[in-house]
Amino acid sequence: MRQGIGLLVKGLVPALLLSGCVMGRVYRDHPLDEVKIAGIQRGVTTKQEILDLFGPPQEIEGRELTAIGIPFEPFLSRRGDKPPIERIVATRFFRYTYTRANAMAIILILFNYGDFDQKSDNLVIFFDGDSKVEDFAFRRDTDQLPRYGFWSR
Amino acid sequence: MVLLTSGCTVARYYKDVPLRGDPAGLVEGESTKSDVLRLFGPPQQITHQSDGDAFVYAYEQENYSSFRVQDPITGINWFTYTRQFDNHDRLVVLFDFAGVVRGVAIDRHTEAMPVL
Repeated sequence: MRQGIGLLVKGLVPALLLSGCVMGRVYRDHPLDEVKIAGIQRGVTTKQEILDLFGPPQEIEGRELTAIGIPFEPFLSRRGDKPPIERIVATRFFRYTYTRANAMAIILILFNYGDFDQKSDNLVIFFDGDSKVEDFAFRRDTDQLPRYGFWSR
Repeated sequence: MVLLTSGCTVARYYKDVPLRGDPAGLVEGESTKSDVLRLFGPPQQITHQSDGDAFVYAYEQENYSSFRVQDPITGINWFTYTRQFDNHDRLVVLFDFAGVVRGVAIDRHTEAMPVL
């Protein structure tokens, strides 16, 4: 019996020790400066000032561009409704993001564990018809990224 | 022999963070786009419908596990069992053209996922 257990341990321990570890880090784009974000003022800051502060956004939604030349009738809920041009035009925003991801894997003979976690910081800025900031929201989520996967979650 | 030819894999994939804020705080016909931005932050997706915009917030979690028995010499898989759960928490807020909340829907599925 003891010999059997001994053989099992002798076989199992090297199998578990013959291992590999993989760690990966992904950084996409640049961190967003919270000092600059704090300087954004609703109804005051202009689109050009946002571009000067943060550069080109990762996503631009220009609803007014899609509305040009498109008949409004199919989009209206009732026949005879007036096209809400002003409000459609007002729906436009810039989005700035900074994404980070941490990957970790432990490779053993009998057991493998992999962990991939991705978080983003997001800044979305809405503009009114005068190209001034109507509203904005910022959320920092990269702080919540676990450094070593499961063990630091 | 059996030990040397079998193995199991556990993997986890997490995208974004769990939904924050309480959607119960939103009142249809009263709450505005600004209220939603203040409560939940920037949405992952902004879409436009024929009667207004929609904000989509999402958190994704994927749990994967597999067990495999393989011939150590030929490499042939004798047996493989895999199980994968790809679940989301999703919050959708619908607005009218005036930016007033007209509908809210939330689904939470990541909490119900089995560990293995």
